[in-house]
Amino acid sequence: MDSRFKGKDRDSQKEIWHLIHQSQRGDEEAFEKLIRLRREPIYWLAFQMLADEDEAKEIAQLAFIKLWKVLKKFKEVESFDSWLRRLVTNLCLDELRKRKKERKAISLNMVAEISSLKEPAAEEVLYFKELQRIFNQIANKLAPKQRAAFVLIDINGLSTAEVSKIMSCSSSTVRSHLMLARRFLRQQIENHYPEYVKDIKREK
Amino acid sequence: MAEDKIDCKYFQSKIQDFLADELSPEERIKFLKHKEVCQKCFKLLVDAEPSQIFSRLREQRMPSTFWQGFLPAIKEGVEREGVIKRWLPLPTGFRRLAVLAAGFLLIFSIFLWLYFAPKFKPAQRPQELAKLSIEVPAKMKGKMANLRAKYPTIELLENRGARLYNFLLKDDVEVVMIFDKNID
Repeated sequence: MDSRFKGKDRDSQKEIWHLIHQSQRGDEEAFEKLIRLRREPIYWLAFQMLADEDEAKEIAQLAFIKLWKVLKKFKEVESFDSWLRRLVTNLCLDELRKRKKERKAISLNMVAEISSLKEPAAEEVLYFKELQRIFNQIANKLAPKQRAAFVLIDINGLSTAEVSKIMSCSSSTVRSHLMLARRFLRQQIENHYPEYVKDIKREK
Repeated sequence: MAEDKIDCKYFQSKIQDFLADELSPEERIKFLKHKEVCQKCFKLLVDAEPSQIFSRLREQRMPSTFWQGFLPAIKEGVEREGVIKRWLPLPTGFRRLAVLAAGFLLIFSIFLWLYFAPKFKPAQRPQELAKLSIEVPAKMKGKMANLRAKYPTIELLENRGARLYNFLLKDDVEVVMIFDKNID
């Protein structure tokens, strides 16, 4: 399970529930804390799906606005996290479908440009930038649902059962999307970045 | 697996099960935790499935400067939603949809009524037309020539028991008159 999302221990889950409870009573400070705790995983989930910093940020903000509207309905922390993931995934799928419809898929150059924003010096961050750039280039060619299955399961660490609830389809369908996504990514890595993968294995 | 952690040997024996999503939820969590801390096992996982290299992307963090303006934008959005709700206090979800559909139907019905009502006239009965437009000659026998002069389209059809006169008035209203053959 993604530590960014689930929290590292039970205390963080308790804290989340406490904040939800306070926010339900109209405590805006508690809601702000809740946003601070969950904005990072929400943002990254949207970013892995869309490969666009601005759109990912907008979707994360939209998710929290919707959260404020329906906050009183939540009774369990688990349903809260699932709801957030489901909301963000569906918003991203809509956006990807819209892009496909409008034929305005982001060009590879544009992805590279976006990924090189905010330059930190740390070597590890550069490594992630490069890995993210490669992922964006390849995953841009995946079907929206295949991309969603890969991002949710292999990057966010969710199980097939959880993703089937989020994507409102059967586990076997999710597994099939995941297998197709993995196969495509594997082929692309082997064809275009074999040295890169070997280098990373050597470096790491 | 009662322990919280798993060792490298166990991890390596479960790589294929993990990729096929055949681990139990508890095993899966332990597997993922081990993958995050053990570089050697991670390499083996990437060897088995190169696309797993992208699973490292979850370790990224954004610098705090990135989040500047994030909260104010949400506050603004929440306030905007509040204003809309105050001015348009509609229920949410399907109920909102039902209310909007009912409103649309009402407006559409009013439009139809206003548009078509002036054009609609009820059908007039032939007797009333006869009263309004012509005087039917009292004696028909032997007067067809006169009638034809007055009503050029008149037709006379005779059957065993009836006589039928069919003609058009000036305003193109068709008149059909049927008499018993014995009535003249």
